[in-house]
Amino acid sequence: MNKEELWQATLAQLQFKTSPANFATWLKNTYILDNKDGLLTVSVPNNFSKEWLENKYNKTIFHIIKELNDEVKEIKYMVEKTAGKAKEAAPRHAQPSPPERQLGFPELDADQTTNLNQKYTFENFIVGPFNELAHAAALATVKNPGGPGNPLFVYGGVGLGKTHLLQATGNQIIQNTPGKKVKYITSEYFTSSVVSAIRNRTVETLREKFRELDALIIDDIQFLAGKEKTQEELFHTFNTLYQAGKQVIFSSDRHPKAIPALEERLRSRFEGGMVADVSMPDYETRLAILRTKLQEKGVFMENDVLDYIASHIQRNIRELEGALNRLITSSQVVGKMPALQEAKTLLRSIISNPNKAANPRKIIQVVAEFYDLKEKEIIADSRKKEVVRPRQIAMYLLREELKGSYPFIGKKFGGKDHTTAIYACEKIHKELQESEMLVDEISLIKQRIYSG
Amino acid sequence: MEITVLRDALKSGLSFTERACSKSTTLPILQCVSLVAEKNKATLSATDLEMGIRYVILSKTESEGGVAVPSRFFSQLAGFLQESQISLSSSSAGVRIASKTHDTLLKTMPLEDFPIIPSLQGDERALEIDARALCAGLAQIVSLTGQTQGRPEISGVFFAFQGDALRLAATDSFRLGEKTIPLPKNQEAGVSFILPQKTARELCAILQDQTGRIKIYAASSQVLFDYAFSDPAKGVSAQVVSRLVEGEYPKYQDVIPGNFKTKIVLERNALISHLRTASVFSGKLNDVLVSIDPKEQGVKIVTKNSEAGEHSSFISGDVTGEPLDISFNWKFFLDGASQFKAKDIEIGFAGEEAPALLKSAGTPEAYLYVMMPLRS
Repeated sequence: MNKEELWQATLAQLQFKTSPANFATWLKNTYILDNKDGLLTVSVPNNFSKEWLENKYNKTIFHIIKELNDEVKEIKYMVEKTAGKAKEAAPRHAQPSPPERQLGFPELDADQTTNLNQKYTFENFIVGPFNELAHAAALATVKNPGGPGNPLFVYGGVGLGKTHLLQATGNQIIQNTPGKKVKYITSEYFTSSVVSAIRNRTVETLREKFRELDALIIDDIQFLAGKEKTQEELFHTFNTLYQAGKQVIFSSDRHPKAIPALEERLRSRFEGGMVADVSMPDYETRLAILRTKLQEKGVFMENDVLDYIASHIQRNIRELEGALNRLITSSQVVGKMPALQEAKTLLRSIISNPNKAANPRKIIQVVAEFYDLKEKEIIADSRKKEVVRPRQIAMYLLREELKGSYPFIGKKFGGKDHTTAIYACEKIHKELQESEMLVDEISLIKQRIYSG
Repeated sequence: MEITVLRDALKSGLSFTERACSKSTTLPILQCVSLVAEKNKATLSATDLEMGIRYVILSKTESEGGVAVPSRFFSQLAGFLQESQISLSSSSAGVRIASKTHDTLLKTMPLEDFPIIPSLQGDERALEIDARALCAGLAQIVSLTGQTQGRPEISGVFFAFQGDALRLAATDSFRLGEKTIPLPKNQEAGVSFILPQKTARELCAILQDQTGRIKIYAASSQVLFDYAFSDPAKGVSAQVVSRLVEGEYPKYQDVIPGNFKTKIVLERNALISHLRTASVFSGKLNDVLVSIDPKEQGVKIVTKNSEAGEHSSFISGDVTGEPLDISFNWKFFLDGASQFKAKDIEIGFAGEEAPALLKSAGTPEAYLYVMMPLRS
């Protein structure tokens, strides 16, 4: 029988030899740590238990164990630190929003070992059609870490809640099973760790550090593109964790298929688990998010102002919060909440007006960068497949976003005929109906155009 | 067991050890104090399984042995007895406590059921510190520890031994106190642990009036404080053993601000009395608005309560830097200000929603207090 069964059988007999109160007190949170070469090591939560079991119960326990497993010659009791964690009564709660307006030390919020910020929880994560798949996938991961949803790959644009979801997952796993080793890192941290480990020849130590985790969460994995050594380390680390049934969670700004310079074997592993996207929130959800944030801050705002914000800031939840904060700050100066007119004025710089938005050069520049081409190439005559597609996408965007006329578009691309432009736009338009990948790509490109 | 002891020693021992007794009813033996007699000495012990206290007193021992006595009755009785010598003897009926004029029989519990209080584990690192200094320092910060279960690491006092000094820190994530206590001689650095709040309080209470040094034995799973009394009539020695709070203490030094936009120096007594007066009119958030204007060379304190009314007062002092309006919980402010002994307190502000640092103006006091404001 294995360790758990052996200890259970022992406890089952021991409970009749002691009073219920004693049994509960001394044998709480005990378990077998190791059974090797005749030496049985039992983990106990504190030194009091250790003394008691060693001096008072050892004979009885030894007797029972010997009958179940006669290879055991000696029993040792050790105080295990993590055993005590379960003893800490209630599991970790997300630190509740500080009582009304009291601010808390910001640096104290993030746990040192896990890098998880307690303020990100499932409770304050608002679900809408745009993120319900990712949300459901995250919940499934929490329920069954290391199960079928391994690895979990969440992707989506900027400011849509990926980090919140990832951190909430980590926090919830720890809350459900205190003592589990969870670590949240950015891919940048992983990369720099690998680099310094190579420099200092401590690669083995680095590997141990990650492989003893129960769950590993890496944010912004797209930055691994082109970093061969880091990808190799990640590959080995991932395999070790995956085979041991440990959960790995990734986030990225795009689908694994769309990450350039990524090793095939990593790409296939990312796609091997659960891939879920987070798109942009719809109007109702934006409104719900605004209301929830207002409630958290204990502030009230008129409905028409909320409606204005929700209708005009469509892309990014962070921007929503930024707009809200702007209005709240100004309200403290003035003494009351802004009405619709004032709000419009205050938010003018945030809510992109058409001028700021895009110009043809910007669109072409962003598209070129996205596909790793030079602007010159897109405008030139090349009919190479790698160039034609981005060119068509750029033409499509010029039509969609700037409402440029076809001759105008043709001219922008080095004097091409307007029929070329028509063909390009229609082709992309049709492809968008069929390929979700293209929808994602274009949405990412649009984000870059408007945020730059 | 048959022994004779001094009443003062017994009383002292009981008043210390009973602090460790548990009020818990799941294991009634924990409400007892064990008294075990050996040649020339008797040991009183009590524990709640997280902390244990052992107190050794001199005894004339006719025969060795021990009993477990309900602590409340035992200490009450010892408190009332007048004679200087008490004799105790145990039998199957209980323990007989006799003096020249009184005779009592207390029912006891079986000594075999009494828990064994751990002693040294073997992997300890030993340190030494002045008893009064430690207790005085602990008293200044123990009440600042966090109470919520959400963050167990801050539910205790952080001890960090740094060679020539011991740094104590406690925080509830809204305010923080740090005390630096010089060590009697240069000792091993790098030892640190988190002491549960209860042990810190009890330790303070027991050893606050003692001169002499406490030996601290820090192991990975527990810490043991050992004190040898100078007056044997009071007792021979006392030991407090405690579990440690698990986890890593947050890097609290990052929280202490270094750059200040505004600095003020105020007379401590004036600040305290103004805060107390203003508190009468603070709202349900206990908020007090502090308005600092360099032009005025002083600080205005304003409180408003929609039901009671409002109050404003002015304290003059040195002001440097930018004007600032900032709100605090007056209780937090008062807690910090009252810990200083200096005549004047210097307060540095890093911004409207940034922490404020309090320290003594003039001679440094080895104590600093940081507090977060209320959102403006």
